[in-house]
Amino acid sequence: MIPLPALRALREALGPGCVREDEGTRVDGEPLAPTLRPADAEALAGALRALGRLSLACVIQGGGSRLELGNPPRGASLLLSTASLTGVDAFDASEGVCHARAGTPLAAIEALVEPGGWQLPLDPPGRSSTLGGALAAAAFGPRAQGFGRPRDCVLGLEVALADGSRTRCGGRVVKNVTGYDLNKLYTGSLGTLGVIEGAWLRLRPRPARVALLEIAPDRLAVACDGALAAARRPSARAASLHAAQKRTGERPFTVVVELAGDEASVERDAAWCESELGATPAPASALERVRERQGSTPGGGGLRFRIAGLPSQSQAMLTSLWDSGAELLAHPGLGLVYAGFALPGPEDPAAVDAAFRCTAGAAAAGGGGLVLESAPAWAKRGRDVFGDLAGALPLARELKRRFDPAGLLNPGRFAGYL
Amino acid sequence: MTGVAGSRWETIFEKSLDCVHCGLCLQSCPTYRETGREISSPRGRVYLMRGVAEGRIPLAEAVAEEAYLCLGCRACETACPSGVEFGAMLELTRAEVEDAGLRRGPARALERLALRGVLAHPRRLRGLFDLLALAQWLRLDRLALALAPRAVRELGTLLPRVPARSERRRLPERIPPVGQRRGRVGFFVGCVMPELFGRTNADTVDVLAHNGFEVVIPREQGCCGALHAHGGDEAFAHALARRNAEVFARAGVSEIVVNSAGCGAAMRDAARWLGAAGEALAAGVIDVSAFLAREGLRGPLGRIHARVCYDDPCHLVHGQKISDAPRRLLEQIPGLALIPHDDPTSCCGAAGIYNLTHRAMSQAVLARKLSALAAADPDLIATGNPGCLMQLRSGAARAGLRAEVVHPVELLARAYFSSGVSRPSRRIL
Amino acid sequence: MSGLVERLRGIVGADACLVRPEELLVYECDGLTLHRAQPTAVVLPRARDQVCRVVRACREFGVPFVPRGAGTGLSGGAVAQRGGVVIECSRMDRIIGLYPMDRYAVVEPGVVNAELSKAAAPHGLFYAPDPSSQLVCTIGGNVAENAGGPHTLKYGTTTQHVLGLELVLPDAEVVQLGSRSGFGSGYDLVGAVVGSEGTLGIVTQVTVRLEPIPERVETLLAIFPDVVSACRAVGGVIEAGLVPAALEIVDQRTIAAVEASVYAAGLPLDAGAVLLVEVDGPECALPAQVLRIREIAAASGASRVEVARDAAERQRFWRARKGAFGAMGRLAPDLYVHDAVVPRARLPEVLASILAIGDRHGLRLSNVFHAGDGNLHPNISFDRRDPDELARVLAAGSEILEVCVAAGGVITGEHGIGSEKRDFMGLVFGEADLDAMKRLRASFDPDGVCNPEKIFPSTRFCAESNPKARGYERVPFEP
Repeated sequence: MIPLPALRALREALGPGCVREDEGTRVDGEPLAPTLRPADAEALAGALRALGRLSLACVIQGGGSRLELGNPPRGASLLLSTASLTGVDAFDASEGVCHARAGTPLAAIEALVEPGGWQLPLDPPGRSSTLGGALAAAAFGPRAQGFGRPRDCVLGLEVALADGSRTRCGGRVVKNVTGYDLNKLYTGSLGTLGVIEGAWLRLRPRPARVALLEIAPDRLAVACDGALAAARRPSARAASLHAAQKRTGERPFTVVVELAGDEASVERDAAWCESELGATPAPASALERVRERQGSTPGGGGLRFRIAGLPSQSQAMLTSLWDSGAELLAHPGLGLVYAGFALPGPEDPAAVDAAFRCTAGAAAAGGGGLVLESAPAWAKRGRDVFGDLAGALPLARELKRRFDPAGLLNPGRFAGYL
Repeated sequence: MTGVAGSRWETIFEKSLDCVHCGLCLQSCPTYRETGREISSPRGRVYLMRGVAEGRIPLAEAVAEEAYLCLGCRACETACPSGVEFGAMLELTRAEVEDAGLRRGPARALERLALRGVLAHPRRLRGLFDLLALAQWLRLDRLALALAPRAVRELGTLLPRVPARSERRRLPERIPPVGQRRGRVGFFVGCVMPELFGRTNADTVDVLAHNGFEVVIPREQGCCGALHAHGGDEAFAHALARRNAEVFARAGVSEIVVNSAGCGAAMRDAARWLGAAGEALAAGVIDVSAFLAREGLRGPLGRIHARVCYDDPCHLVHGQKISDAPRRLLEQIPGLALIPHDDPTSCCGAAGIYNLTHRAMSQAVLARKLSALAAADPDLIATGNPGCLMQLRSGAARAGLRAEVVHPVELLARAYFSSGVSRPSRRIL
Repeated sequence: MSGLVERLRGIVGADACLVRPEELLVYECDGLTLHRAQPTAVVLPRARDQVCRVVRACREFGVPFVPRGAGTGLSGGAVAQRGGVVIECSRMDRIIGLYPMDRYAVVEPGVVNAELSKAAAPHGLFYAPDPSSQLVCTIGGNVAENAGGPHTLKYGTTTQHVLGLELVLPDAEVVQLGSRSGFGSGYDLVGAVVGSEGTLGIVTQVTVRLEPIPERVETLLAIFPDVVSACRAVGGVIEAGLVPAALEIVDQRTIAAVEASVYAAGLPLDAGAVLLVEVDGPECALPAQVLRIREIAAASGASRVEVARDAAERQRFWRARKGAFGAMGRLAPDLYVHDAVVPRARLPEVLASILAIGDRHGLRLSNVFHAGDGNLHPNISFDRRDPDELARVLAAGSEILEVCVAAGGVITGEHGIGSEKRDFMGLVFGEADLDAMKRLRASFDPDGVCNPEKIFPSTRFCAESNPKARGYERVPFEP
């Protein structure tokens, strides 16, 4: 808990209702209280200014669905929540563009645009995901195969900087090269350069037809090939593979394919998957299960790594990880593998080291990078969960220094401990 | 417009206003592709010309160098959306460079001598080639080249074998049509063509006659002046054009068939060069491929079983906008398969005497062409211009390409006359 | 200065170091001739190492440097406003590797856009961002401007297709950004560099995403009595959930210019607007799409809808659109191609305003636009030697931008800010917004030596005033 004078100053600056002393949380074992919950964007800026004056650093939270992502916070004392900044305040159904505030749950946006014939191209795991949180973490789900990366749907952002200045970047139009593309800088920055107040988003047309299929091969190689082949079909929106180590009557390997688009393409691709891959219709919840698995860890408290490699190396990555006992969820068409390791007991560094060795080996085989997305606090010690930034670190430090010189926003949590 | 006075610069300036500086010409330019320098691109050269016309830069060495580094292929004109008349601007600029005396030295003196003193005089040209033929027969050429400095030796590789006397025999002044008469045309023999490509000339008139056209070949015709114009010797070029205009006017033909793309393009410039005096010539000149494609080929054509790549001569595709006609003709020869190759409309690097004056660039440009042809691996390479024929022949030989390099009309002649059908020109001679 | 030239010659060789006045003259501007300034020298490096050493030399001698591709940009982005060294990347033109299995390629910045697609074609792949200058423009230039083109509607712009970059920073250090997989850690510096107009460093290698060549393409040409109905059709197509590969409109004035030129495509002169629609994808999907588009076009008032029967006809349709530039270019010595974006629904009214602005200033103005994404290109034919006409062209440009911003749009969709629109940034962004951008820039280039005098408003003018009419600035050459 922060000192009383500071608490009083915050209450004065934000209004008592927005300083929730009874709401605190722990992130990676660090206690954070109170929770500041500004009512609107102006109040958010005011809160940041107040934090600056009081030299108090914060962890930023949207829906709290991926608070565990990142290195343990260093020197943060409280939580800044954007949960009250909700609402879709613009939706152009003729163009497929909408504006929503950072605290709006993704589900709410989806519900609003769907009847208008559009879809939100973001489907990260976590039911309580908010727009700001999803964009700050550049979070995505299995539909990234068809939707692209989260950065690709952001047209414009309103961002409150650490000094309390309120800024805009981008715009509400789909083609825009007016100045620097700060949209890209803020997206995925985990709030360390500024707090997203709201975003202009480019939506996708709701497909005329959607088909959900699954394949249950008995070998990992077949599953991987199948998922990759399915991902390459024109109407493939998701093509994910789940490999479960525990044989509790569950099939070891499952591939879920979602085809979406016009009638003819989906029909053709579905027929192809059926005849060439032995696919059968999947239950309606199949993709949601994939999404959940992507965001979970074995036993609830284990490790989850994300390895980003090349599609052609998916099989090499999966095989080496499977052999080391990991639970696997992969999007081979994107070259992504999520590897989950259960941790046998409390504080077992050897197990963590072993897991790192396996995944580092797989990452090397895949020609890509490694991120430890979820782990207990003790397992994160001594390592940057985001891996080595190498040559980009000096630049990243400069950016952080200029955008948040006092280190108020999510200090220590991002890549490079920024 | 301030700056340099003189009607040529005024014309150049006016024409430079057509350029909107978009740069779409850059990749069509062989020298830009080789150097990556803006100044060696069409857009850059137009900018230079305008710069001189406006008095921003002097007409000095740099401009003179670029004016001659340019191949004059005019591929930029094809790429240009704004219709910039680059070829005309280049000619005028080179004339200015000549008048300013910026090109001096023994090489240019030799060039002047060769172009004015020999090329323009058919009898002297014949004499020179007779000498060359003798030297080649006596193998003296090999001796001379072996002793010569490397530069001369390299130039020597370009020199083709002078054909036998029988192929260099003068064509008759008139060749009657075969079968039903379809018309009457003049034929332009060229200067180098009768000496090095006599057979091609014979093929041309034979194919025309076989197709029912009476061919008139005026004796007094001469060099078209293309190389002179490209060398900045404007007055001499115009005088040559004037003579040809008069000769063909006297011959009373409304159309003059040409089988050399370079000559055809130059003669079609006669109106620009001479005004009213050149209009008839300019309007009357037509490339043999365009003529035959328009008139239609008489059957039957014999088989030639081969794969052929047609490479566009710059002065046909860019200078005269003719690229379809030669291909359509070749497609009509049974058994002949027209296969594509990369970038057929890009220059081969011959560019008149450019392959002598700018050896390195010419070879670099040729290398690209040869690599494209090698990839297609044809049996035959067909192109309708003597300079290109020589360049591709010597280049193909050195690069180890197996293809035979021919003029398209040669293939037509083979298709018509191979199996015992007699040639119209032989019947007279 | 001669010390710098000596040094540069030592790095790239004398033939790759241009210092003669004539050689520098041709580098004083890019595709936009209104903004000119001559550099002190131009170098043509062949490799990253040479670029580093050139940058280091520039730092030591205290001169700025400017990267340049093919110089076809339309916002004066490659102009050496403060002199210095132009680093011409055209000789770094190798395709280093093409990886069809994983659908990416690694290229040097001087690779020509169309050449990349040509090299990828045998593998069934292509490079999607296709600006109209694609036959000559370079990937490096595309990265600098986040280039678009007609097919960005479906495929996205350059930034969607750049996975990684090798960058020589303004302090001559080399940094590798991004990753082949497209999912890296840390700040999205690749995304920040794309579209940064050559102000954050010199790109020396690009890893690009390649797309599969669509199975089939269908192209339609629809004639409308006016622009409003053509835009209505565009709206109908998008609302129907279709995602065409291209949606282009040319207005009546453009049609008149095209039909009077060598690009004549047989369009009726009384047509108010012509809409070009291209759809691509699996063969089985297209007939239904083509049918739907025809229905929508007819319902919106099209007098005629044609579907291209073969590649030749498809080319003829596109000629009507691509010939616009050349046709307008022939009307006068100079052509100003504006570039603004508005929300798509506002197109008809904005277009009408733009025509009125053109008329009011007595200008030859016509419009061509990427209707699907609201990106307009008003084209103005003029003669820059006429100071009065030039002033009217610039005034009209300024008003056009104001109208577009007022309609919810922005001041550039493809061409970038460069030198041209610096002083209009204030129409879209406030001080705090620009300050945030400056922080990004300063992180890469704290001393402001990499392509200075671009993007941010010039200090000579305050943000609210219109820039004065600018003729070309004659910068005397100093050896």
